[in-house]
Amino acid sequence: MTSTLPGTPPPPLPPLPAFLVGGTLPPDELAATAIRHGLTVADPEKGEKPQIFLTALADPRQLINVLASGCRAYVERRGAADLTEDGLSRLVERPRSLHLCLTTAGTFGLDLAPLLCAAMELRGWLPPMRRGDIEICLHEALNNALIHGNLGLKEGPGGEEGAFDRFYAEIRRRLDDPDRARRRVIIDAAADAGGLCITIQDQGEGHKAHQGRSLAPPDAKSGRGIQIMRELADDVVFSDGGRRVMLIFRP
Amino acid sequence: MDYTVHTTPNGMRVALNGRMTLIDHEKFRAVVEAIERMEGQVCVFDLSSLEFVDSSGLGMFLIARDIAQPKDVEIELAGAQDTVKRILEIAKFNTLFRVTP
Repeated sequence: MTSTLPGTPPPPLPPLPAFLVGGTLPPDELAATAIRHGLTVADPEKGEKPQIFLTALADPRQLINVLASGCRAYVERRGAADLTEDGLSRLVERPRSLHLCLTTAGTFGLDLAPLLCAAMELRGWLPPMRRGDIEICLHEALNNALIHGNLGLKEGPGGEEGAFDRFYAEIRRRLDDPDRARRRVIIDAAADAGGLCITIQDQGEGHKAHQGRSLAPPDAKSGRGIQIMRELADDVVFSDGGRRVMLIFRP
Repeated sequence: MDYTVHTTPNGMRVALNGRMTLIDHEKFRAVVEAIERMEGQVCVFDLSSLEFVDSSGLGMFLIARDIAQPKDVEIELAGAQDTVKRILEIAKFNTLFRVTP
């Protein structure tokens, strides 16, 4: 039995085990990153699985496997100087949360919404019957973050002939701009008794697409993404000048 | 997304399957070109194997409609499953296309 004398401070708690980090960065870079962020590099030979996965380039197969193994944060490096401003361990402190931080070029190459939905379903976070709603809302929010946010295209394709071709060619052209291609899309998903909350943040100049509450005319060729989100999510909250959108799905 | 095009007695039938998103616009252009060349008055899109359509995909159906209208071709969107049907409803596509189960 232990006792504490009045007025003496309680004995210090044992230090929390550091979060495990792993990934496809060169070993010395991974080790240096772990030290800088107060993390421990996972040792696969001991059966350790990383909670934070740092990848040189995002890859769909890798992302599926990493999220299925229980990893809670997936961060793409691709030429960026810093992986995150706020520290990597912060990303996994919250229980029942998932964090993805990908470059624009990396996100564009992935069909991310179904991959993330599969990971959330595996964790039991998707309210029954809502998977379709959540997937389309997430998909539209990601497209907005990429195209109107990080790539800075203010308008979708119009109705004139060849509009889609020109729109897509402009997307490809802007993806070739290294400054735009390495801008991040940051996705935070968290589940609790109140439901599921997914936040999508981009690093573009901001946009006002969300401010018009009037609906696109039925025959407009673009402008329906936000309408779909407002219709299917229980709440859609834009902030940071349009750079951040929070989607809420209640049970 | 994948597609197949079949000639029918009164026009053509286009079966779409998989996921229809922005990256499919080039494939869809081939579908639009088939509508430009088609004979007959009805173009049926068979959506029974289409798993997903996003707002860009909706825009592509509207491009097909722009091509079909001057030719007096009616576009029918047939057999959409729940997820796709829901998106067509939100976009009020029943006011622009013949939407059938």
